[in-house]
Amino acid sequence: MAHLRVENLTKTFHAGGEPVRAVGGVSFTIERGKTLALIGESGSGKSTVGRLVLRLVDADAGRVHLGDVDVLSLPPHRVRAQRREMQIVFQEPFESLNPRMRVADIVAEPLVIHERGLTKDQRRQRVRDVLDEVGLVDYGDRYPQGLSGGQQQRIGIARALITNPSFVVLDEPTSSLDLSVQAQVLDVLSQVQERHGLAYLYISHDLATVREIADDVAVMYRGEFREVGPVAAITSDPRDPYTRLLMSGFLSVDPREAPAPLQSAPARPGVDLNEPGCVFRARCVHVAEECSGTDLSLSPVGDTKMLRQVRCVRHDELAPAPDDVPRSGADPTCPPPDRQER
Amino acid sequence: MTVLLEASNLSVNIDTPRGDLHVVEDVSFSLGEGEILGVVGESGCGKSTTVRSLIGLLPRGGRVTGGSALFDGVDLFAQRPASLRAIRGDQIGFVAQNPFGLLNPVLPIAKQFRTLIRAHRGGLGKAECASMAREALLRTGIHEPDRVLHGYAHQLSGGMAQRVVIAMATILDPRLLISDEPTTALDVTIQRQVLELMRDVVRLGNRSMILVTHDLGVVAQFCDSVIVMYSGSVVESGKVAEVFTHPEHPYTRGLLASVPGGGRGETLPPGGPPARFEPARGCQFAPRCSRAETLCSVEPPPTVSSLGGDRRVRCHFVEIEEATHGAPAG
Ligand SMILES: Nc1ncnc2c1ncn2[C@@H]1O[C@H](COP(=O)(O)OP(=O)(O)OP(=O)(O)O)[C@@H](O)[C@H]1O
Ligand SMILES: Nc1ncnc2c1ncn2[C@@H]1O[C@H](COP(=O)(O)OP(=O)(O)OP(=O)(O)O)[C@@H](O)[C@H]1O
Ligand code: SF4
Ligand SMILES: [Mg+2]
Ligand SMILES: [Mg+2]
Repeated sequence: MAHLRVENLTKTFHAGGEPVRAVGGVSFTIERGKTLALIGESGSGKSTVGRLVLRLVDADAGRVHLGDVDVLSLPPHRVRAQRREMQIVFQEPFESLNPRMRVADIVAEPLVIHERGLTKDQRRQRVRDVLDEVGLVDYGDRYPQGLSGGQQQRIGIARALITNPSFVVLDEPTSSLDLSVQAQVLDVLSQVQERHGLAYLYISHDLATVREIADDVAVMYRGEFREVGPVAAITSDPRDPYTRLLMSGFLSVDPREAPAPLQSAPARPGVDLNEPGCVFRARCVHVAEECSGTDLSLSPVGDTKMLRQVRCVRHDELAPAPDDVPRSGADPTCPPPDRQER
Repeated sequence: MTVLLEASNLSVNIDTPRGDLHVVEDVSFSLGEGEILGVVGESGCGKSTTVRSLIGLLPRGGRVTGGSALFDGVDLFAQRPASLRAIRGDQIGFVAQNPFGLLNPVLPIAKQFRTLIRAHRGGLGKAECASMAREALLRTGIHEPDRVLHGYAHQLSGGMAQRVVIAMATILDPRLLISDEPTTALDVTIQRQVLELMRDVVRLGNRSMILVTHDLGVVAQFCDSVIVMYSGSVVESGKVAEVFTHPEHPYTRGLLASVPGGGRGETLPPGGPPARFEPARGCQFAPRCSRAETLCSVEPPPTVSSLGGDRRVRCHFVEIEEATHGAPAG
């Protein structure tokens, strides 16, 4: 059985006027040692999913199991203890580090909260061990200010790992870092994952890093998964029009190669998204009559062993024609098929 | 083209417990009207410090130790804080790397727009301010501007906060927009929309923009010129069409080669520059450079400008010949 099992997680915020349906019933599982990436539109509910699973925000409905623990039914006083098992790393490393604390004290903080029984020496040893894991063993006495963005982010990771969690939410952990530093941080993350069999929920906007670190990917739009399945399958052959739109956004570093137009229609006025139907239909370039009238659910596609699901009702018609199918073992650096010149 | 901003020999130090850190050294660039300048370089090389120094927003302990920055003929470094504040927001818009740092957590977003607008355009009513704000938010791809305006910063997703800050920085139609990593929290389609918006503002209104980013694709597609920084100095600069197709400095070459899918040639060896408490001696990149010779670590490299146009490369071993006939075809 998978280590993390999430079923039908739902959250509507009521701030001020209208309710905001941030997460509209998402389900997924993550095995130990595996990574599920969450990508999608800004504001589509990715961070909220992470927070709901960790109980940093209360869910309206749904179930979350981590191992044997039914996380959402834990009484409040047990949530805190459970947090040792589930941690989070945020995007802006510097913002989450107290500039007046030494690195060793920042990293030790969760131990002070969660493992009060430790002696000073034991605590010091744990800090040393975890700093060693992220390649910063000599930095305990430094302050975060003078450190590079990548070093700061590795401190954030060390702090998340020190209580030996089995599941970590990585909320855009590398998006404020440049490529070489990104690679460094992703390496550290993969190494500790392998050593300790961690399950990761990796939230990101960067498809290149998703391909590098994730096993599976879920694509979110307006609180729902549009498509979920193995990374290679989805990036080489995206079936949902929103996934395709997301993948058409790639910008080449060669200034002579103009970007492909985005595969999106300008929002159609007069489409009422509160009426049943596909929530992407106002912008979809493939919209048809069948897209309105009933709400869509995820349906399996392709080889059943692959556990791939898509929401679009027209996904069969949108399957690539046989000679468009990328060669097996498609080059992961290759743009998705509908971006290539024909 | 009329020059709007001319930064010359800009240097910034930051006072730290371990001594005076030389964070930016001898940086020069110029920016014309209607032009977009990209600033790239690895984490910690001084990009944010460079652009923040222009508008007096250095971190505590930071100070400009030399150089000048002429904005439409006015030296920004010679301004009193009050007049700099007046310029900022009205004539120079700023999008900070961390959007939440620019938003007040306890005030509704609408109120923050109103304060900003009224500080520079007195006499506008509440409704006028709100409709200006609504327009600005819609342009950045925020579908429900009213919800955002009535809410607080903590109710926004990362990418929504980033767009609120972009809307604030552009709402007064400043002549210069300085954006520090403006799209890191956005998905690629909204990123595209926001960058196109900013480009249109620059092109149509004959405005100017400095765009700090680690996304080289963004520079390739949206910037006219670029400066490449390493350890506080500019190592290469010029038109994007030239620098990105025929990078000359070994660091620029390595940087471009490291892009997944787009890279050719030798990637950068790991490592980074040490913190600097003294002015640079030789070339800062020498320890990681495959082309380096003894000379490089003792003698500061010259700024080579013989490649034509406004191209500058700071290296002892610029291969001038190859560069001249390798000029881009178009
Ligand atoms: N505390 C809150 N109160 C009210 N609304 C909220 C709150 N937190 C999030 N939201 C709303 O829920 C929606 C989803 O936000 P979330 O932060 O999960 O998006 P996201 O997918 O992580 O976006 P991004 O990529 O921009 O970080 C947004 O519309 C946001 O405004
Ligand atoms: N308050 C401070 N105290 C000490 N050092 C600082 C401070 N602020 C910045 N620095 C140092 O100044 C250097 C330049 O920082 P800056 O933020 O300008 O880099 P950057 O190029 O914008 O990096 P990034 O890509 O990570 O945003 C870094 O080495 C950083 O460690
Ligand atoms: S269901 Fe219709 S509107 Fe929705 S993504 Fe598929 S084709 Fe587009
Ligand atoms: Mg988020
Ligand atoms: Mg910066």
